[in-house]
Amino acid sequence: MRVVSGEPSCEVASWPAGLVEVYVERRVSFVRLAYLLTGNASVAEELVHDAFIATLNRWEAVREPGAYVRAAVVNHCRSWGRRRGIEERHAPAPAAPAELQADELWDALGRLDDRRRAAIVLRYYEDLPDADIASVLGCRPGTVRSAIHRGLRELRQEIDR
Amino acid sequence: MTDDMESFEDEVRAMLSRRAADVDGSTASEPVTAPRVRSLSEPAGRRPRRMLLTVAAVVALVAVVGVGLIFRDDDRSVEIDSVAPTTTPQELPAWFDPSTATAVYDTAYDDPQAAAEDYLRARFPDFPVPDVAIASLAVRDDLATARWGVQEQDPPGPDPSYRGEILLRLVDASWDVVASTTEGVHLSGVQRRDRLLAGEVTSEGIDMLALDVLGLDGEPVADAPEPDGYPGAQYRFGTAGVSDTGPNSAGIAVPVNIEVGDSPVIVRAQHVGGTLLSVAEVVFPGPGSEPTPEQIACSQRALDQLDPQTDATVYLDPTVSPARAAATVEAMDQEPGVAVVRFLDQQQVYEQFKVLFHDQPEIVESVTPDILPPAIEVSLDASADVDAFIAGTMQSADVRDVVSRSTMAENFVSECGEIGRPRATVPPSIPPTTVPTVTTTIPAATMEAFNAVQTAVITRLPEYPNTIDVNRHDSYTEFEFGNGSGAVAFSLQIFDSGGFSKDEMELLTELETGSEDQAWLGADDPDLRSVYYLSADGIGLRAASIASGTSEPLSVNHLVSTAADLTADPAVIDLAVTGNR
Repeated sequence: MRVVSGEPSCEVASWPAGLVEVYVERRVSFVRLAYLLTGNASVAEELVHDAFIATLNRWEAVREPGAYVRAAVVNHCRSWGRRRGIEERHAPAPAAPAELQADELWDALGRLDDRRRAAIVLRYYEDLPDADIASVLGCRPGTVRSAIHRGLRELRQEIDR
Repeated sequence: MTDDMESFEDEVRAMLSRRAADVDGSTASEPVTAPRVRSLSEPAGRRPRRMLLTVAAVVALVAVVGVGLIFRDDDRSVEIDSVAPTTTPQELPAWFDPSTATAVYDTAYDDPQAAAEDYLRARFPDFPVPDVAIASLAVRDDLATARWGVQEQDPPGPDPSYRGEILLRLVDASWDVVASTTEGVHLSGVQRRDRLLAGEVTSEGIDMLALDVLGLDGEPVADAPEPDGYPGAQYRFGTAGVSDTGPNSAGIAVPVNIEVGDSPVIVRAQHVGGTLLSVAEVVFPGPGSEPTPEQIACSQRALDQLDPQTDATVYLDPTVSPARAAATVEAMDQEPGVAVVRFLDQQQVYEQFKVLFHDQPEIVESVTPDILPPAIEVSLDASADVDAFIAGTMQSADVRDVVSRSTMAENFVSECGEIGRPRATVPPSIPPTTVPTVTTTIPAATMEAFNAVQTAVITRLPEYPNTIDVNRHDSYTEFEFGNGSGAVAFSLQIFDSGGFSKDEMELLTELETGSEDQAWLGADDPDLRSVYYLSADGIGLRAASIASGTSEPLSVNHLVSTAADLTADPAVIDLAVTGNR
C-alpha cells in the first residue's frame, strides 16, 4: 500500500531533541516496564507511545524527560488498568482459567492491584528508591513501603496456595 | 529482613527480569503508525484538534528517528479516484444524505484512507483478521467513499466473502465515517417512528447476522433486548438480536422493534463467523430534527453575537491568576499572524452568557462568573492559518480550549437545539412505589433525587446537558451525564444509606489524598478522575469524570466543588436518603 497525499502535515515542528534522545535510548526499557505493569506486550507498546505523546504535549513543563516519560508510562498503565476494569463490567463472563500455570509468580503479579504492582515493578525491576517511586506514583514514601510490603506478602500467599 | 524474605525478593527480581525479556528489543524502531485504536466499549466521541496535532507530531518523530513509513504493508495498492459516487447505496435508507448525516465514527485523520483504515481497526476486533482491507478510494470535495473487502483466510477463495463501502465526510479538517455498507445487507428495511425503531435488517450472506442499536456513545440503547450481547462471545455484539445462519432462499433477517427514546441511534449489522466478518451501520436521527421557532431564535441570537472580526476565541483555565492571564494575552499578542487580541474577564464572559440565555433565567441564576473561563478573542492576519494558530495555542498550559468562529457557530446552534428537548421528570406527587426499567428497579424517591441531582448538575455544568443513563448497582445508583458528543462523561453515584463508609473509603488503595470526608484519585490522570465524598449524614457519593481519547476531564477542583455543592443541598440529600432506605 502506498502512502497517499494528505497524511498529517510536516509543518508541525519536529520533536524536541531531548525527547527524541529519550525515545531512541530508553523506549525499549519503557516498553518492558509497561509490559510488566500490564502483562500485555502490544498494549505496552501503545501505552509507551501515548506516554511520549503526553510528554510532548507538556514539553514546556518537563524538566527531566526520562523521569517524566517513566511517570507518564506508569500513569498510562494504571489508567489502562482502570479502563479495563470499566470495560470488564460490561464484558461477557471470562473463560475458565487455564489449568496449567506456567509462571505462578507472574500470574500472581498480574492479580495485584495497580499500585502494589507498580511499586514492586519499580523497586525490583527499575531499582528505584522509595522517594523516586513515591514521586512516580504520586504518594508518600511510607505508602510505597507499605505497598511493596503488602504486595510481596500477597504474592507469597498466592504462590503458597 | 529475614533471609527468607530476601530470597523471595530475589525470586521476584529474577521473574521480572525474565519476563521483561519477553519484549524483544529488536522491535525498538517500530514506527508509530496511528493513534491507539478505540476499544469497543469506549465512547465514540470526537477527538479534539490536539489529537490531530499529535498524529502530525508522531509523524515528525518518525521522520526524525528515521524509522519508516506510515503504512507497513507495501504490497497492497489502493486506487484513488478524483470523483466520488453521488448515489446513496441501495443498502442504506433512502433519506440518507452523506453531506448532512451524523457520523458513526469520528477520526482525527486528514487523510480519508487513513480514516477508513482506522474505522476498520475499530470495527473488526481481530483486525486485520479476517484479512480486511481497503481496496479503493474515491474522493470528491469533502466526501469520500472507500471500498472495503474481507478475504476469509481459511479456506481462501477467489473473491472477498464480504465487501462494501465506507462513506466519509471531511469535517473540521478531519474525516468522519458517516455510514458503512455491506453488499447484500439492507438497513433500508428499518424505519424510525418517533421513539420506535421497527422493521428488519436483511442479508443475503451465509453467516449469522448480528444487530446492534446503539447510542452515539457506542453503548446499547436502554431497551436493547440483549444488552450484554451474544452469550459467551469474546466481544459484545448482537445486543439488538441475531439471525440464524444461511443460506436459504429467503435470505436471513433480524427483526427490530425497540423503543429508542429521542436521541439519534446507530443501527449496526455485522456478520459473525469465528470473528466479525462485515460491518454496515448508519445513524437514524432522533425525532424533532426540524428546529423549533425557539431553537431558531436562539441560534440567530447566538450567531448575531459572533464578532466577524474574531477568528478564534481562546478560553483560559478559570483558576488562572490575573497575572498569568495577562502574560498569556501579552505573549499571544506577540505571535506572528495575530493582529488583535481582546481579553474578556470572567465578568465579561458572564455578561455574554446572560445575553445568550436571557430567556432562560433559571440557567443564568445558576451560573456565577467565577465558574466561567476568561477568554481571549483573537483576530488573525488575512494570511494566517486558523488551524495552525489553534494547534499552537492549545500547547499552552493555561489554555483550556481554543475555538474557531465556525466551530463556535456550530456549537451555538447545537446548544440551541437542546431547547425544549424532554428530560426525565417525575411528578412530585408520585406515590412511593418503584419505577421499573428493563434491567432493574429504581425506587421512585431515588428517581426524584435523580431529577434534583440532574438539575443541580445541569445548572452547575451547562456543558453536560444530556443524561446518558441511570443504572442501579448493588449498593448505589449511578447517574451518568455527557456533553452530547460522547467525548466526556460525568458520573455521579449515590450510595445506599450505609453502603459506603469512611472505613471503606480508607480501604480504597487508589485514593491519593483528601480530608476527613473527601478523597480523590487520578489528579494527574489524563483519562479518569474521581472524587469520593461522604456527607455529614453518612451518604456516600462518588463523582467521576471520564474522558475518551485526549479529551480533558474535569479538574479535581471542579469535581470537589460539584460534589460539595450537590451534597450541600439538604433537599438532595434528603431525597437520596429517603430514596435509598
